[in-house]
Amino acid sequence: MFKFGKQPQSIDFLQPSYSPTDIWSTAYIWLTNVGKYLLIGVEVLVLGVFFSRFILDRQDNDLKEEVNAKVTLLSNESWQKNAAVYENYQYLLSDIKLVKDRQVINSVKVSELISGIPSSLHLTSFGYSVNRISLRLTSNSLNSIKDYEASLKNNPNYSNVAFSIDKNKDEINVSVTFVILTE
Amino acid sequence: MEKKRLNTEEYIKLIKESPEKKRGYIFAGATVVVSILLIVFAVRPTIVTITQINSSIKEKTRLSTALDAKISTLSALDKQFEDVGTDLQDLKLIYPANGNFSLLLANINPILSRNGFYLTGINFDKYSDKNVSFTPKVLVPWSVKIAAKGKVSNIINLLKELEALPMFPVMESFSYTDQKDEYDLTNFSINLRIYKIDNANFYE
Repeated sequence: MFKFGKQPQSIDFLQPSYSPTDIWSTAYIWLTNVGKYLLIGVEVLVLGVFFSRFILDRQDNDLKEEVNAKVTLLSNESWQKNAAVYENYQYLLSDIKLVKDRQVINSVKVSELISGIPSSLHLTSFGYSVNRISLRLTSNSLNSIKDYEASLKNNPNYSNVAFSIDKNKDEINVSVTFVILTE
Repeated sequence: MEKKRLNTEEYIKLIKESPEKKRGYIFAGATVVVSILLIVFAVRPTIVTITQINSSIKEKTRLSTALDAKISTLSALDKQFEDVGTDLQDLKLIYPANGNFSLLLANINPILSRNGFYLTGINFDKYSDKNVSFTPKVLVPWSVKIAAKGKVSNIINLLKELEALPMFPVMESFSYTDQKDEYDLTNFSINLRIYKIDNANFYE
């Protein structure tokens, strides 16, 4: 196929000493001279990519096995149960902190309110319901009632102060309602 | 026959347009095409796969780190739970998961007695008001209505002690009238907001 044996003998320097004329020989010459480097370069690249893929595949498989082992460990019934209990406790403790921080001590409000009633007024009934106060008082002195009304109405912590006065013989019955303002 | 002599210009033309050179170009082109085909059909898919494997490795590494963190956290919690487990067990009584308010009941009676009151009635019920301005994750508000008899002068202390209970109860409503019984005792009605857990298996 390759006509290596029939190389022409010439002293024409414009002609190469060996100049193949058929396509296969030219291809062979090209590939053994210039093309081989190009192809070798590409092959090296292909092999590099292939081996890097091989290494990465192994790394990926190792990680997969590692993750599966950890998942199996965490899927253990005892671990799952413990994890659920600890999570519940964590929620509970954060809730307790929330409830503690947001607890409103209403007994202090009631105490301040009852101790603020003048001694000339007699408290006959008291009602507290979520910052709404209703009182029933009796007194013999209208001035005391008016002073108390003024003190409640001037108190910036109270709103909607309503007084209802009813006189019965010598005794004055007073019905008071108001709202305690919250911050 | 006289041999035709070539001049310099023709020699240059001959060199430039020599059939070897043309073939050389063709084979160079063919090699480049083969290289490109190799790159496109062999290297490119592999690079695409490598990119996918790389992102998969990154994801698995992240997952593995998260699992490591979870395992170490659970191990640490195991240790902590061993240390404070008995204290945490008390929470079952303070915030019952089964509606058993035995600790509250056990506390209420001594508090009432200490303040000169006695219990005439107690009732646990669903909390129907909407006075809770915050939203706990697991605790559910519950209502306890206490009816007691005692002296008006002791009521503030009683309310303070009730609100100081470990379950952080809140007095939602309270009322009394000055009508006294034969022992000079007044009836009081106290409504407290307490908390429970709506999951029977919460502590297990």
